[in-house]
Amino acid sequence: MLLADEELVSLAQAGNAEAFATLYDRHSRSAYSLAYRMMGERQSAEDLVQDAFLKVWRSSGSYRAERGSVRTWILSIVHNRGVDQLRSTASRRRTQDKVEANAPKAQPSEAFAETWRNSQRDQVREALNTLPGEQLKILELAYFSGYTHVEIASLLDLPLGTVKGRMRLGLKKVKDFFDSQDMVVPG
Amino acid sequence: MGRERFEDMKDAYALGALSGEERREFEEYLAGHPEDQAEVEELISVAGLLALSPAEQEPSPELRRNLMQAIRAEPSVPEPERRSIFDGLRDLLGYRALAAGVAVVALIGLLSWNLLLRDEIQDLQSRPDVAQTQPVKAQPRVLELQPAQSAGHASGELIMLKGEQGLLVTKNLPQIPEGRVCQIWVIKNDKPRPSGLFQPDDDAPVAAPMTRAPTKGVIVAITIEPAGGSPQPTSDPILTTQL
Repeated sequence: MLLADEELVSLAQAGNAEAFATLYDRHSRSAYSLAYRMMGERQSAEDLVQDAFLKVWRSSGSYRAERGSVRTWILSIVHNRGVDQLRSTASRRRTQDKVEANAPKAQPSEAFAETWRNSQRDQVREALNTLPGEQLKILELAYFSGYTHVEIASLLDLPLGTVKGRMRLGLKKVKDFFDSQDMVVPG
Repeated sequence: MGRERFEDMKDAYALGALSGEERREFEEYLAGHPEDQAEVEELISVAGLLALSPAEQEPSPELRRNLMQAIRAEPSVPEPERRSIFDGLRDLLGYRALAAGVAVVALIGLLSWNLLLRDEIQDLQSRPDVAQTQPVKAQPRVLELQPAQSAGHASGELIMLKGEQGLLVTKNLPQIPEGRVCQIWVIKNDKPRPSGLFQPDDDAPVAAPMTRAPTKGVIVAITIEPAGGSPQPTSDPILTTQL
């Protein structure tokens, strides 16, 4: 018997720690995976996830179902706070590729929600695989490493217009991938 | 900021790649141009997909413990009434008991046209000895399906027939756009497999035979898919159950 994420958020908003714990159990792995990808090491990633989930707890009343799923909301909190932390750090970590290559495989799960997330993750990875390397790299530097477009242009020694163009083409290509397969962009 | 600059910056905004000052400038423009907000929200959704792509990592159990300690130490969130998660479950169970009754009654009316059940009935009718001596054994196992919040008042039951055949009876499903169908999935070992299609009916329960056996341990789910069905689910489930 599972409660929907939206129901858990409502219960958490009312101060129900059990509901919040269930929400954490359901989404902590995705949140931590994103945090680890951004921060590049375990302790910083855990600090980021704890910080993000505390915000989830404190501001569960701000969740709006019409703007996307609970998972998307939680991941956006992790992402936004991660970018803030990266930008406030003097030296940025650039170990993401190594981290990605050395990452352990996910444990199989029979839980439906986990299955669903895995299925969507596969679709997203398939979409990202259609991008040329130079477009994907720019999306990753922006999204996971928190660089601004100006910083990326400087890092890669590219004209700013080229960076913007690759961002535009990269995002468009991901969207086109979902459109071409008559798939809905997961919200 | 003019239209041209908006066009120039919208992708970087969606990716979170504007500086603080640029972001404020962009958001000021957006606040004054609500007609552009949908486009930006779509870009943010697409950019947000990147969050799903990293390799899976498992947080430590200490993180969970620390987090739960932290929230319990927080000043109480305003709460008119503190409800246990089990209260919510009880509410759902109460609703589902009613829904189950409705669905079972509906099933009786649907027997005449459901191919699977008709075969079974014919089989029993041709063997009066079985029908008379074992009247109770014909009771099928019934599992309730859990509706997603987006599914409104949708309800459903999975009725297990003999020979591991499954029949889904659904009611009050949300209206689906033209060119879409409801698709049944059986998920085993993290792999969703198509297991039947059906069209919901606004006014009556719908019974749909499953094309794949709902065996022990699998998850059964219903999603809304393009006409003809999809090889993989492309939307979130509206009803689910685990065997």
